[in-house]
Amino acid sequence: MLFHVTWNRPKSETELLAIARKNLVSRLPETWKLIERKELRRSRARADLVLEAKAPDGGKGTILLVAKRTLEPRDIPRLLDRLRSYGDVVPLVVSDFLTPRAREILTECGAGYGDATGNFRLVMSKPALFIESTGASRDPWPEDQPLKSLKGAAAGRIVRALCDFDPPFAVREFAKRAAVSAASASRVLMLLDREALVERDERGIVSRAGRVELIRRWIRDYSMIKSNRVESFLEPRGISVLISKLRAAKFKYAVTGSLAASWLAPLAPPRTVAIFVENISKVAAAMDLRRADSGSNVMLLEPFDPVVFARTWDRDGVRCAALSQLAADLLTGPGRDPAEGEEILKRIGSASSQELRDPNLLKRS
Amino acid sequence: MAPQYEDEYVKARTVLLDALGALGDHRSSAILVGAQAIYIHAGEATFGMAPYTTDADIAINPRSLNKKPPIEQAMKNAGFRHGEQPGIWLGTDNIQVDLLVPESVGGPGRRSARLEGHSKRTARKVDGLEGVLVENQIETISSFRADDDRRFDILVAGPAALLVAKLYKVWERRAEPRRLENKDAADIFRLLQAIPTDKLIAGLAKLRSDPIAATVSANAMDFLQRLFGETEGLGINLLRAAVEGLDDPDVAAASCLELAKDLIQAANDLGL
Repeated sequence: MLFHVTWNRPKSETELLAIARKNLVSRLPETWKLIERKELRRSRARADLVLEAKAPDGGKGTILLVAKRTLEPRDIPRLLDRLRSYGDVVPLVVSDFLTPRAREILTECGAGYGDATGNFRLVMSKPALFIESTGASRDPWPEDQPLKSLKGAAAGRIVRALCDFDPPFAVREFAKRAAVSAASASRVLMLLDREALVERDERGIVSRAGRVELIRRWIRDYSMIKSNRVESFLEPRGISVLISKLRAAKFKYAVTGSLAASWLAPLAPPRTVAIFVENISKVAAAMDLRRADSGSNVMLLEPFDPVVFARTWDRDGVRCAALSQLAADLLTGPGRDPAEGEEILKRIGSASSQELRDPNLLKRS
Repeated sequence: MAPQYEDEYVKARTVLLDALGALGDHRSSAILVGAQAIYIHAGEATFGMAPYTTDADIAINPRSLNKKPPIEQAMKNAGFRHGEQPGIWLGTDNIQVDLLVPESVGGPGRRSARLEGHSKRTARKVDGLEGVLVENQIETISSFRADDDRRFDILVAGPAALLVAKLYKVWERRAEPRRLENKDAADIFRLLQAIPTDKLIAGLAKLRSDPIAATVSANAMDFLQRLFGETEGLGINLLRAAVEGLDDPDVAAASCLELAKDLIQAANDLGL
């Protein structure tokens, strides 16, 4: 059977859709035609691609493709519900891999399916069409394969929570505090356990977390400059005026980098102020910052995850990122930031839990 | 009182108070100008650059000045000596006090100001200083030393008048700027940075509406454009040299350029 089967996992939904379309084309009888109908895509209904299959007798059928990289069987009915508004169409759900149970449910619901391992089924009554083929029955890219990196939002939240809270941590409770799924917590903790960055007892409860080592491990995968969206600006009236503007700010922000560090360690006054904000262009406008070709003293960062706004502390009316965030940002920041990051890391290593929560309690070294 | 100040700045203030004391009743015709006046407006402790001025500049308003007693004698009695040029006075530790008169009200003569009842060596004429007669306010000037309780309420030139005067100074020496003019460029940046644009504009409008200062303030806006309105302007380059080693020259240059453009734009909008 001529069928496009890929054993490389698709890299994106776009690639997944392309594979599905190619599969469909190769399976249609030669006398049939397949036309894309862009005008039928409605964003609210979440169809990713709308195709019209035309039989030689002129009969037409509409196929709605919906791409989902991973799909749990329990989520299928809700997914299909969203396509109701299209009326008389054939849904075709495509995914990296569909379990036998998922395929069964899709068939029961009257939907077609396709996955990147070659499982495919499309049934249309008018004009009549039936395509079915079988691919892998076991997931070639199982999710629970050992995690290798701390990239991404969930890992960041977990590392931050391990640094900011005091053990012991039971997985489910910890997941709640870190605002991640229990599955994510479990996978990340497994990695950290393997790398001996946390200690767990026989029930899986984390009894110890090495804050300094955790941050060092995190920054192999996290970088202030690369993980966040960064834009540079100029406050022509200088850093002291910038700080007064922050004191009066109505928007959400957290200062990180050398300004926050200079309040905790005897460091030279900062030349650049790094600030996490939710929306760079709105904040730049609100603060009347300039885009300058050369010379900037403000860095605005849209964060990799809202966790940068979690557990902040105030210094002289200015909101600062938690020490764990601050250290990771400095260690991966420009110029002399990394050296300052080492200073902060030292303070984290010797700080009490209370001092970590409110670094104002730290004595200036 | 203020231990964070540089020793030289503390000494300069002491000598300024010596001169103000010597002026006696003439103080009501004196207006503090120059860097010390700029620091009063721009903040004395907030900037990254240390105030490395060691002199004091005092403008004299000839229109209100009394003929007696002679200033020259009063200065000498207070321990000041003449410097090389008219109007230059040397006090303790050779710290310089300049007595200055705006060019257009300074009478005939090349350098020295003609003040009725006072010697030709008393004060020097300076172009571009006219605005300080128009925009000024009374401030209390006191010592930075704990053991010195002298304080004088005197007129201090306003920020727009000071900006105009500094722009004239840099402009006049543009052909062969010396190292000293770096400091003047830094003082101009200080004013632009610390004083809100609308406040400078209000001051400039006041100068433009007064016949004494109208011409110099109009010229000064032209100098501002030529010296500080472009990336490669002479003023911007002097500023770069002034902050070298103290601050990031790129940031200072870009900031000064932005602020100068803001002021030029606002002035153009109002036809100033």
